[in-house]
Amino acid sequence: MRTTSWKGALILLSLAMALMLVFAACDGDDEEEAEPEAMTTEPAAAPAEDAMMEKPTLIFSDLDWVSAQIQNAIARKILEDGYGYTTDAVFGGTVPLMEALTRGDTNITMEIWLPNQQEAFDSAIAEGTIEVIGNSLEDNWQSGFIIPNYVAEANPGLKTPDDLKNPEYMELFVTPDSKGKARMLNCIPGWECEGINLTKLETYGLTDFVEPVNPGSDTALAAEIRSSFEKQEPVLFYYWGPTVLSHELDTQLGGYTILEEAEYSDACWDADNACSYPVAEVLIVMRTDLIEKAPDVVEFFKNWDFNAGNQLAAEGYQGESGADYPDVAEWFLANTDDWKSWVTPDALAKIEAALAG
Amino acid sequence: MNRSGEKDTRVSVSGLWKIFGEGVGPDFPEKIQGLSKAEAQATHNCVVALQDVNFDVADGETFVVMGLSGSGKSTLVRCINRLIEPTVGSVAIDGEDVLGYTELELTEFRRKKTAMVFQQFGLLPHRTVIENAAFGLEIQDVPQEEREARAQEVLDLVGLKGWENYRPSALSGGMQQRVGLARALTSDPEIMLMDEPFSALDPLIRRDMQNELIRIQESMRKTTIFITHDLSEAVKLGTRIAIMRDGAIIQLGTPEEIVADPVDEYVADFTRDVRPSTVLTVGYLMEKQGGRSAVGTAAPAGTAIGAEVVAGQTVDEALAEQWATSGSLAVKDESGTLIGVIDREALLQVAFEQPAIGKNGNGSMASATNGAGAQAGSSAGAVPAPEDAPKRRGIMAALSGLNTPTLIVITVLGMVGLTAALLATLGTGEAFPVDWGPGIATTVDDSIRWFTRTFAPFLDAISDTVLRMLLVLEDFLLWLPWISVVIALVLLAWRTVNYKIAVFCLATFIAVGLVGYWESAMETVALIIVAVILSIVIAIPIGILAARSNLVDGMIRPVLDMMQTMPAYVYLVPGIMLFGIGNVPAIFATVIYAVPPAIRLTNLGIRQVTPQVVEAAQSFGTTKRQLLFKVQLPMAIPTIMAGVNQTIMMALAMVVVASLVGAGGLGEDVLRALNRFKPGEALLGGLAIVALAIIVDRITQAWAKERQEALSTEAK
Repeated sequence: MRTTSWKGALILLSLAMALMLVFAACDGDDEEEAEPEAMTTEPAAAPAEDAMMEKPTLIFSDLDWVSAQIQNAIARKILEDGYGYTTDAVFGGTVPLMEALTRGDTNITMEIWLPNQQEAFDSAIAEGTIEVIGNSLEDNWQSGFIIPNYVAEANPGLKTPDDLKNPEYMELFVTPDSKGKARMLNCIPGWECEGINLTKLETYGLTDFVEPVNPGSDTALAAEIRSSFEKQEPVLFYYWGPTVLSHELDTQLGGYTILEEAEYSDACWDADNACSYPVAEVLIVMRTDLIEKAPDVVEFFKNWDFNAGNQLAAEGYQGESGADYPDVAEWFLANTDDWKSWVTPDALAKIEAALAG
Repeated sequence: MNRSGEKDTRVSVSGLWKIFGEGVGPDFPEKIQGLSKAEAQATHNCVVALQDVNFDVADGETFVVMGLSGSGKSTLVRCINRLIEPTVGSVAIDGEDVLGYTELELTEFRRKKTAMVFQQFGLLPHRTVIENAAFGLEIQDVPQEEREARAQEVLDLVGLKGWENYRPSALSGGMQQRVGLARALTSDPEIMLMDEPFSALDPLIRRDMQNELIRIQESMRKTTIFITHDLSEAVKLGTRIAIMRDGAIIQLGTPEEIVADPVDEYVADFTRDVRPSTVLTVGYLMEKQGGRSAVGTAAPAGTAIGAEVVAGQTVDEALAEQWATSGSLAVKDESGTLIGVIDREALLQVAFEQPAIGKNGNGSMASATNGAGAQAGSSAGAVPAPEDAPKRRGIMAALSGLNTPTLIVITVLGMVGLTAALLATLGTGEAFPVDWGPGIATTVDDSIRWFTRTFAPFLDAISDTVLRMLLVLEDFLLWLPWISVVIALVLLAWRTVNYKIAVFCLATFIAVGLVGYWESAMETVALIIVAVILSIVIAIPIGILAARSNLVDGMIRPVLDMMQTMPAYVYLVPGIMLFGIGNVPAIFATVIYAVPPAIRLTNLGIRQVTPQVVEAAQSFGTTKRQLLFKVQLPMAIPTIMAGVNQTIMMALAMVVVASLVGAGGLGEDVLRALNRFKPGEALLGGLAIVALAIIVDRITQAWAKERQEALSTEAK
C-alpha cells in the first residue's frame, strides 16, 4: 500500500512539473522584451564604484523607534546618492547600540537623547571615542503629564497636576491596581524620566493622590495609551512628542491635553524638577576615528535640520502609505525642499539625478 | 455423558461475528463469505476475529474456550460483556439480549451480572489489596464499611488474610491474581468471565490457583467462561471445552470427547501433550465399548473379586488400583451400583497409546468453516495486490509504468527545467505578484478591536478577579515577616527534598534579602503562583478532554505548538488591549507560554494509564466519570506533576518578558538595570530568578517522585 501511494505522489509531482514546463515555455516569448530594460539599470551603478575608493563605510545605529529610522533612511539615501558612500545599519535598542557605537560596531548614531543616556554618553566623550557633530529633532519637543481631550473637555477644572488633589478629578483615574489613587502611566523603567517624574510627584505633593504605574516598555506604554483612547477611557500618562503616537492621537483619536506646569528654567529644574520638561536635547554623534576620513559627512550633519515639520510630513506619509523606510526617504527627497540646503550643490545635482532616474 | 444435563441455559451465544477494520458494518460477514482470513484482509482491509460463533453455557458450568493466541478467544470473552462490540450476532444472558442494552443498562449489567479476571491482573496500583477487592462494590456506591467487610470475607477465602493493607506491587504474581479473583468474587457476580487468568503465573503457582478455583467452585458453583491456551488446564477445570481456530469454534465437547476424538490435526496437536489416560474416565470408555450391560449389585461373570472400578475414575486412577488384575473389571457408579464391565486391556491401551485422529467424529460438534485458511499473522507484504484495481488511462498509465528511479529523474529534470525557464522569463529576485499581508493584518487588527469592545465587561471581570487574587497574595507575602517566610520555605525544602536543598534555600533567600531584592522576589513569587494556578485550572480539563478524544487532541496540538513557539511580544501587546497595562497582561502572557506542558502531560499521563487496568475497571461497570476519577487521574498524577513542574519553570522564564508590559518584581528590576546598562545589577536580579526556579523545581519534583514511588512500591 505505502509504496504505491508514494509512487503515486511522484507521478503527480512529475505531471505538475511537466505542466509548468509547458506554461514556462509559452511565457518564454516575452524574454526578449524584458531584457533590454534590465540592461539600462546597469550603468547607473557604475559611477558609484570609482567614487567608493578610500571612502569608509558608514554604519548607522538603527534605533528601534520611528523617528530614528526615518532620519537614518533619509541620511543614508543622501550620503549614498549624493556623496558616494556605502552605508549600512545595525538594528537594536538604545542600550545595545550605545555599546555598539563605543566599541566601533557602528559609527554614527543620529539620536542620542540627553539626559536619558547621559552617563554612557559622558564617559564615551571623556574617552574621546565619539564626538557630537550635529543636532537632530530640534524644535517642539515636549514631554509632560497628559490627559485625553475627551477627559479635559468633560472636566474643564482639571488643568494642572495640582488639580489632581481634587478628589473629583483623582477619582477619574482610579483603577483596581492603583491603591485608591489616580493611576499615572510613568516613563519606561530605567530611563531618566522615570526618576524625574517621581521627583515631580514628590515636589508637587502628589504622592498621596497619584500612583505611578510602570509600563514596562515603550511599546507597551504606547499600546496602553492607544487602547485607552480607543475605548474612550480616562487615562493619565507621561509621554513625549512629536511621535507617531502623538500624531495619531491628534489626528485620529480626538487629541490630547498636556497638564500645565511652570515654564522651564534651569534654576527650578536643578532644584527639584518643579517645572515643565526642557526641550529635549537630541544629538548626532560620530566616532572620532571617522571624522578625519569623512569630512564631508561631518559638514553635512552640521547642516542637518530635521525639524518637527519634516518629521510629521515623513511620518504622516509613512502612516498613510505603510511604505518601507527607504521608500519614505525617497518620497521625502522628492516631495520636500528643506533638505536641499543641507547638502553641497554637487551632491544636490547627483541626488536629483538619481531621483529622476 | 453430559454433565450440564438438564440445567438452565445462562449464556447463549449465536451467530456471533467480530470483524475489525475501518467501515466494517453488519453486512460484512456476508461480504467475506467463503474467503480465508488472509483473503478477507487483502480484499476488504479487515481482520476477522470471530466468525459465526455459537454455544450455550448452562448454570454452574465451567465452559472453557481454548485456542492459540490470535484464535479469537479473548475477543470472544470480551464480546460477552461488550468490552468489544460484536459486529453482528446475539449474546443472551438469562434470555436478555446484551447487545441491545443501552449504556446505562450495560453499566448495570457489568456491575451486577458479570465479573472478569484478567491475565495481566489489571489491579489498581495506587490502591491497597482490600481497596482493590472492594472496587466493584465501590463503584456501585456501597458504603465503605459494608464493602470492605465483604471484601475481607473474600480475601480470607482466597487466602490473602493479612495482606489487606499492602499495595499490589508488594505481592507476588500468584497473590496478585488472588486479588484479581477476590475482586471478581466480591461483587458476587452470577457469571464469571476469566481471560487466561493463570497463564502469566509459573507452573507450580498455576496448579495451586487451579486447585483454588476448583475448591471455590465446589462451594459457589458460579457459571464461568474460562479462556486458556493450555489443554491440561482446560481438561482439569472444564465441564465442556470449545476449541477455536481463526475465530471459529472447530470442536466443542466434554474433555473426554476432545481427547478421545480430536476432530483434526490442529486439535490433535493440543491433545498430544495430554495423556488420554489422565482425562478419560472408565465410565466414558465403557459406554463407547457398549459395555453398559449388567445392572445390579452382584459381580458379573468372569470378574475377579475386588476387580471393580468406579465410573468417575480416570484410566490412570483405575489402573493404579487394579495393576495386578487381569481380565474384565466391574464398573460401578458413585453409589456402588454395578453399571457394567470393562476389559483391563482396553484401559492399558488408552494408557500407552496416542489416540488416532478423527477416528470417530460422533459426539463432537465440528464446524471447520475455514479449513483451507492460512494461519493468522500472515504478513501484509505477502498479500498479492488485487487484480481488479481501477484502470489508469493515458499519461498516468504511461507514467505509472515507469519505475521509481526513472520517476525521480524525471521530477528532478522537470524542476531544473522549470527553474531555468522561470529565471529566463522573469529574471532573478522577482517579487510575488501580490501582497496580501497588509489586508490580512488589518482584518486581524479590526477583529481584536471588535473583540475588545464587545467583550469589555467580561474582560474587565477577568482582569479584576486575577488582579485581586494577585494583590491579596502579594500583600500577604509582604505582610509576613521575612524571617517566617524563610523558615517556612527552608522547612518545606528539608521535609520534601533534603538538607542540601534546605541549606541552599536558606542561603539564597538571605542573599536575595541582602542585595535588596526581597520585596521584588515576593512580588515575583505571587505573580508566578497566580499564573501557575490559572495554568493548572486551564490545563487539567483541557488535558482530560484531549486524552479522551483524538479529535480534540488533534485540534489542540497545533495550538499548543503555536503557544510555545510564538514570540511572546506578538501577544504581549494585544494583551494590553484586552487587559490594560500591568500585572494582568503579564499573567495572561505567562499563562499562554507556560500552560502547554501541563496540558500535554495531563493528556499523556491519562493516555499512558495501562489499558489493562482501564479495561478491568470498565468490566466492573465504571461510568466514564468513575473511570476518570478513580482510575485514570490517580494513576496519571506523577506525569501531571511533571507537567506542572515544567509549567512553573516556564513561568519563571517569562518573568523578564512579562515585565515589558509592566509586571513588577524581579523582572522589572532586571529590565530597569538593563535599560540603564547596569549589567551587574541585572545579573543579581537574574540570579535571584534562577535560585527561585531551582528551589521550586526541586520541591515540586520531590513531590512528583514521592507520588510515583507510592504507585510503584509498597507503602502504608
